[in-house]
Amino acid sequence: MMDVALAGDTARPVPSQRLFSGAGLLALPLIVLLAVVYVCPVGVMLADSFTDPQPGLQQYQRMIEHPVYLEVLARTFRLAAVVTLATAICGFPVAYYLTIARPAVARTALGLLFVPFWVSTVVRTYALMVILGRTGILNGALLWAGLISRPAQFLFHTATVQLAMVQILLPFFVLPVYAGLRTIDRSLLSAAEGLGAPPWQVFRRVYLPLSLPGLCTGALMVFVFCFGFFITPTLLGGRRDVTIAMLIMAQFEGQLDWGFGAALSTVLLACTLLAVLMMLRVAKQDSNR
Amino acid sequence: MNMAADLGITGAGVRSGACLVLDRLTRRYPDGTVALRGLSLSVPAGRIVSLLGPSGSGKTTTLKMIAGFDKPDSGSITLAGRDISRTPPHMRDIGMVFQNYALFPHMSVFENVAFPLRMRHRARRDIETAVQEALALVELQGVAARLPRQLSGGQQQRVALARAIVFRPQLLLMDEPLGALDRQLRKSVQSELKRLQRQLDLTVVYVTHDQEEAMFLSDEIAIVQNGQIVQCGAPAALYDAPGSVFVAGFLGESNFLGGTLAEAGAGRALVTLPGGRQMRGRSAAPMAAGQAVSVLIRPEKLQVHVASHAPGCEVNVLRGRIDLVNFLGGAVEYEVDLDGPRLTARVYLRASAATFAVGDPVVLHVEPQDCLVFLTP
Repeated sequence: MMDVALAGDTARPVPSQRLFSGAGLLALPLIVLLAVVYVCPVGVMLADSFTDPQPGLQQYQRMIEHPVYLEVLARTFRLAAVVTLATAICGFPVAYYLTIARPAVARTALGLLFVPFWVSTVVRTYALMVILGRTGILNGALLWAGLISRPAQFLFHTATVQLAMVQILLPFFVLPVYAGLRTIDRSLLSAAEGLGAPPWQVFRRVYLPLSLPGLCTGALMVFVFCFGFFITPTLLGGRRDVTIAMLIMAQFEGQLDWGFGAALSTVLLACTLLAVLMMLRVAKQDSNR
Repeated sequence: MNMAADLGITGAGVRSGACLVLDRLTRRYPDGTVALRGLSLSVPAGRIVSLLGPSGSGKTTTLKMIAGFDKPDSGSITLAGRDISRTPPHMRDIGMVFQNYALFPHMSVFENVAFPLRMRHRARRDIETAVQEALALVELQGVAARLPRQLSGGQQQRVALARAIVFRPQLLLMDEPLGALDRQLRKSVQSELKRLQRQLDLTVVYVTHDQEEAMFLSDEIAIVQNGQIVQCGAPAALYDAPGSVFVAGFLGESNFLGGTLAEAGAGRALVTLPGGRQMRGRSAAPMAAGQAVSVLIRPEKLQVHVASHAPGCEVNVLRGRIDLVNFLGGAVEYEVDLDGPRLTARVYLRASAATFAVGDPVVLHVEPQDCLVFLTP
């Protein structure tokens, strides 16, 4: 530990002063690509929200005047919060288990965790519809077992959307958290125990605080993804499960109201950035404590 | 007189360290390796006992057992008369300093030291005073608000020590706590540690593979080999009368001369060396003429004389030639070639001491009581 501490004091890498040193040049293709397909469009969109159809703040005014838009925003926020929390509760034990499992077991489990990445979100969402639908596997099983007499309606509930999103986003949470937990020195846990801390206190006073940076990263990933989630709420949700992403889609595709769509997108972007900043602050505060 | 009482370290009165008894501990790991084979050890209250042994000998396992991080398959651990073999670590009342210090990186120095007291639900005011006192003991009053990573290695080590003694445990365990410090610092920390131990009347079990450290610090040294304690005693006793070639080789520097036993009896032995020369020594174990033996001679017991020197008698006189000269500062080490076997002699440099150069012919002499004869293992 002393080595680490010393390295932190003296050997912290000094950021290069030259913008394009040899290594920096390697990132050039990506920078160009991002500039063309990301920075420019976002800039255009930002501009559109203030200029389309005529210059002014009327698009934002419209958003405030009609409570339905803010409601959708609040609902999206709530959905993201619930899914993030549920993912954390399901994912934290898994990430912890991976750190204590035998290496071979951990490798296999990590591999299994990656499998869903190979299947697109659309396919996974449809698969859930096959399972949960009126004539789906779950209803079939329940009918066969005689537990229900008529097919139940599992689809088009908020809870279904949340369940599906947790399932899809779990790997995005587990991986950064696992990476974070792995760096926790296990002798600290022994030390705490030896100094008189019962297991629960070891977790609360030592393990949990040390896992916070990883937890924040994982939660942030999930939260940001949730906030812009589109496919799953569209396919699995009911009419009440409209998210801001669906609303934006409708403006561009259905209403052809690009100005308002751009304004909604700007708000989504601003909210996401706000969430990122908040999380970063929590993580930083913790590492500075 | 107890200085700890004067300093008011205590909160609730001075409590001396307790005695620890390990009785025939065994431990076999699931993979089949046997870590402990009936290890027994008794640590008197208020003493420092070092477990000294090569890596893998079971000393760290023993420490883990005492702390409660591992459980023995059989045998018992008794602290202050209470069997704690099955007590979970957090109820054992034992302080421990880890090899890497294991300071909590997210807590200030103050919070690190306060941790064991908070776990014991001490009153806020008592915690404040106890922590300040513990930090004063290790001379770290000024850094209470800092984080561990803002401290030097030596400071971190002292925080770890303060944290381990702040709750006045019955026993203090130290797992190679000075391994990461440089030589200069290590010396001063060792002295500090000894002073603190006396002052607080701590019972300490100290694990190390550094024999000098063990000799410097310990009231008793227990030599661990293959999951057992092969010899235990005061450092001087172990050094002067090692019970086996292993102990002799592990504690201090040694020369061994192989030979055959010519005569033995009443603790004396006469050994014939390969060249026909004979040496007298003492033997601890009974042995019979004709057996293969090793003669142990400590380097500082060898006297080096010029070749023309005529010793009083021809017993334990060896002739050879200087092969290497190693300057050590206060002493010089001569490696002497005896036409086959080689011996290292250490000569402390005084005004009267003759010095030799490579190639010089010399006569070595050693007193019979400084030659220990063992059966060759």
